[in-house]
Amino acid sequence: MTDAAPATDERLQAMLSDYVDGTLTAEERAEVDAALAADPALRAELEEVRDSMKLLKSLPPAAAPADLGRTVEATIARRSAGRFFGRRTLGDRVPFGVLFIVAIVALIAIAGLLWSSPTGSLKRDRPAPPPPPSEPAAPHAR
Amino acid sequence: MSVRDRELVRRLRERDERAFRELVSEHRDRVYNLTYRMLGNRAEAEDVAQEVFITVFKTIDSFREEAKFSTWLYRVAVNHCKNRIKYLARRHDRSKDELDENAGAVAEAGPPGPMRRPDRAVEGAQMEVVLQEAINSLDEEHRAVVILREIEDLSIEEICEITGLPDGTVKSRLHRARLALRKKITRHLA
Repeated sequence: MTDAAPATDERLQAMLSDYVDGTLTAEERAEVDAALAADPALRAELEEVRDSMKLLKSLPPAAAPADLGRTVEATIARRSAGRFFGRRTLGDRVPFGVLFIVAIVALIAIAGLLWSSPTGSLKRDRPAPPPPPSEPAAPHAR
Repeated sequence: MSVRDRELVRRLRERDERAFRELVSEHRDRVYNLTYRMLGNRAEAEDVAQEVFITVFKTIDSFREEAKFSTWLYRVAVNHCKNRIKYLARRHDRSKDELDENAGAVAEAGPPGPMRRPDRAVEGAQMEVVLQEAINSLDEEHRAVVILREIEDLSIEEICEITGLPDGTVKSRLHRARLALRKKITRHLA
């Protein structure tokens, strides 16, 4: 079964689905009725679909095992080492783990900068101011 | 979302153990029925139902309260079932034996009430096997749609929300699933 059916097929299938469910508008229902009148095979097919769905609806509900709740709680307790239940603490609300990793990365970055800095600090040497333009030498009087 | 569901969700977010018990007790039969019909095997159904409740509890913070809580629960359950079906298909580990065992158990138990007739009980159990095998023959997408509609009795709108599919796709899948089931069932009845 694929969903590669052309759009018109999909529209017809959707209409037939609604027809079986009895949720078509009067206009759409008339359209499907006309198609069914012209196609006895389709009509028979839809009748069989209806009968099959009645059988499906008659399936008895399967009741969950009585101890399902206890089993789930035991699984949760085992997987979480008993920490799963209980009100949340500050440690659950604040992502301390993420903050710790961010802090470590930041420290490594700062250490790298310090190590590569020629001054050994985050300060950079200010470039020396350009020398003042020298005054033209006075001609020696002779 | 109802006030009661909103309150339950708030308590689940607070990791309230009693709220979790309420959640399981209120929804376990519905979740189990869905997982059983999707998987056709009691042990797998129980295992997946457990995983559904664990996932709900673990991911309750991601639940956006625009949708009904039961819709979200169904979505989690359907996704778990689809994943399990794919996993089992990969492992070629899908045994039909248990279905026969279950049919025997159902036949033994029979329908409730004083007018039990063994021949009818066996007929009913055999029919259940036929219907379950017909469901099992569908792929997981068609299986989910037809179970949600015919067995869980959900509306098309709810199925759209659960599956995330547009209206037209849900209806056309439903029709194709119904046709495939009808073919299997009528073949057996003939």
